[in-house]
Amino acid sequence: MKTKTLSILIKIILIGFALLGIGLFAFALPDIGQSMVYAYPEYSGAYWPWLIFLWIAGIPCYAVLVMGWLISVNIARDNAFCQKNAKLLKAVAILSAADAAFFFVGNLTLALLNWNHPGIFIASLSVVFIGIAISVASLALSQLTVNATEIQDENALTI
Amino acid sequence: MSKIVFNIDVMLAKRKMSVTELADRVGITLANMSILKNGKAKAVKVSTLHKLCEALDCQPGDLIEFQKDE
Repeated sequence: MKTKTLSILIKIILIGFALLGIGLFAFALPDIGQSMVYAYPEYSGAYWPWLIFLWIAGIPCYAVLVMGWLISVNIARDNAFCQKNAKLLKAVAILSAADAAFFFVGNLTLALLNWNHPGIFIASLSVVFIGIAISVASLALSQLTVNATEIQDENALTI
Repeated sequence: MSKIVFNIDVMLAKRKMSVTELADRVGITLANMSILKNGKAKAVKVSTLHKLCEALDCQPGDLIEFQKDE
């Protein structure tokens, strides 16, 4: 498969995630929130704190999408194994871990404020776990990219 | 720091050959030839050394010199 084709495929996936995110954060979550407030009026005070918390949790996700885009640009230029990509992957790992930690702490705080449901808290742990998994995978890819870059540079200077 | 030097210019002058002609005969680019001449190469394939000796009609020892750091 050509690197340009691979880059295009990655960009399509990233755009897809971005659009899904807009759908989720701009429409689905506010709508679900309103439905819950309608069903349980005693939780009406929790609507905006929850929504703002989820929107803030979504910002690092979009930052990761931008980094993914930059990585795919390097791949298209036949420069997949470079220090820049390794640094971007490391940044993705750090952002994912930070966002997972933020999501966990936020859910716990809202639970302590009695604005959370035990079932939702447990379900949120799966989101936290996915975030940690993405972080570990990105960290591994970052280190492997560094190793590959060193091998590539050495090969380039082998006459 | 001590280094390994490729005395390609010396042999080119002896054989009255240009760098371009040598690069063509050896089958490497001018950029790679430059890397070799400037001492920036990290490794040299035995096949490349073979082709260099063949093109310049010399021994590997005529091309490679170890310069000790005094």
